[in-house]
Amino acid sequence: MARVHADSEGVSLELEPTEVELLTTLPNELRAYFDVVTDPEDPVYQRLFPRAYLDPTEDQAEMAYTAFVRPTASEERLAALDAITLALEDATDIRGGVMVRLGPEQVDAWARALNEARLTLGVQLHITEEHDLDGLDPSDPRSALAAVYSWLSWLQTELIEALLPAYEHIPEEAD
Amino acid sequence: MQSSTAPLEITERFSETFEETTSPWVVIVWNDPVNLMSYVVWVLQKLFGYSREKASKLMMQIHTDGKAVVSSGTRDEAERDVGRLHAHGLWATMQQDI
Repeated sequence: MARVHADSEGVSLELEPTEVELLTTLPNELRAYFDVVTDPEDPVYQRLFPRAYLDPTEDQAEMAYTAFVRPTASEERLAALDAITLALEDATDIRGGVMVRLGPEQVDAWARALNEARLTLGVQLHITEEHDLDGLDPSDPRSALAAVYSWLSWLQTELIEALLPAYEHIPEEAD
Repeated sequence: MQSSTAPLEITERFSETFEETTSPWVVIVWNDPVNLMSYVVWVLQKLFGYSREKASKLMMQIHTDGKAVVSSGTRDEAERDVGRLHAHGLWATMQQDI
């Protein structure tokens, strides 16, 4: 299992080969959703790109949002996926895997990219508020994917822990 | 008679435009089962400069009430905020606060 060490200048990650493999494949799978719209009814697509307007009479505004606001958001999201790929390319070999060094901006990008992956898996695993993955039977066909989901949740939690202190002292007046 | 209905139409159109420009738009974040509580707090602090206390309060409201208004402004401002929230994977929508 990966090890995470946070310090004042970022995070060091020790990753095992299977974890490296997972983090190599995931960004590629996610990038596909940003290419041409394959199927607007696909629940994963709908979760990654929710409507801005719930009101169906705002369809025209929704189209404008999709055309003008979403592309900027998508660029940011793709850059976050690239941050994982690039960091892995820069990884240093260590005994039993690799060491990845992330600066604060990369930790930020990784946290967002891992979130995209978790959102996707959440849809595929049919996770709902009432039905999470606790107590999933090991014979359940979803258990392999569920293990990936829970590893990503763990890693994302560690990265957020490293990010939060920088935001600790924002004063109330800024509200 | 056209001459008598025209002013009313103009007034209606004017009031619609007026409403459009004056009523604020609100940005709502909806609860979802995947986003981690700490992640939501971090995103709200990062995007809106909220204090830890305010961001945590909003996150709890999203979690327990199913949704919370996280920002408001003109239509353009709300669209920009929704875009930034979507870029962070939060389920955000916007509507006019009438």
